[in-house]
Amino acid sequence: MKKFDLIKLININEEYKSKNLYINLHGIIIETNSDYSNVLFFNESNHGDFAIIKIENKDLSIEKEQLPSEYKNELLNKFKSKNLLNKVKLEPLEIKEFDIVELLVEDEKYTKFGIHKGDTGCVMENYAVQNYILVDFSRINANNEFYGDCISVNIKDLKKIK
Amino acid sequence: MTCTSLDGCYFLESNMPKQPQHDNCDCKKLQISVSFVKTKAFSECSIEKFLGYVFTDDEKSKGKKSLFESWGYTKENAYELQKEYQNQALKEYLNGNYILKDLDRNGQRLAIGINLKGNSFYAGWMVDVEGKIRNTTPFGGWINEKI
Repeated sequence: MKKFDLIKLININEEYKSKNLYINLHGIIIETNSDYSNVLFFNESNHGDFAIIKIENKDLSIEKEQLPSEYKNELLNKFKSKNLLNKVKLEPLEIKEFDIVELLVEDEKYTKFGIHKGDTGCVMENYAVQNYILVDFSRINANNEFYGDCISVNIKDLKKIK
Repeated sequence: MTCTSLDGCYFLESNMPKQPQHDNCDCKKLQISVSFVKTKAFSECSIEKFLGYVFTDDEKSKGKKSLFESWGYTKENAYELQKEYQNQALKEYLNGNYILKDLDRNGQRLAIGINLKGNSFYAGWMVDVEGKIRNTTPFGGWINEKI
């Protein structure tokens, strides 16, 4: 096992679960010794979220694929520019596909689409990207007239209703 | 950067997102042949868009259940609708018959016309990598209405 190896988590325990890891989650070795590795995991339910978590080597299997060199360089540059080691848990996405949600804020980034505070909509994806998720606020009235739009909304601006 | 969500996506040159997207944007447009795109492109419409959304209840679908039922469709037709959406949308996408809608970190959305029993309307799609388009919302407004 060496730095930048692509791995898969093959065993799970309570500590890993508490960090929202699960079997078969893929990651990248950042540091390693004979017993443990610090592994970079990406959050599949919220693209852009990540965590670096200490994992026993016996709980990892190495994948055949290799990380392309340009990605290795990009990661090295990220580590130079920021301390990423203090992000030790993946954040679960509390809002799921087809949940009904309410918009909690009045904001130009939503009002330009005709969507206002208090409007309700239906979540249309099972993942977010950098905390933004697609919500369909559209409706059809009894006269078959169509209103609203399907837009990206920050999950912190949403409350799950149902 | 919203442009990163365009990485690996296919568009007709005459109907593509503006380029560059921002100052110092280093995205490159690569030419690929129509015949190549035709071998790779596919459309995906989850069955749950009908079973878990349109045909659940009007509180969730906000009128879409009633609309589809008025056309004679019920949840029993979900698989038929899935296939119809996928076929129609792929054909229109390959012909460049789509409207570029919002582009943000979640990706480039398209409005693509769908016709069911003579009723023409737009459905919402997301452009994914390598020729994939994925349905986001089954009903996105009537054709001939400003969207």
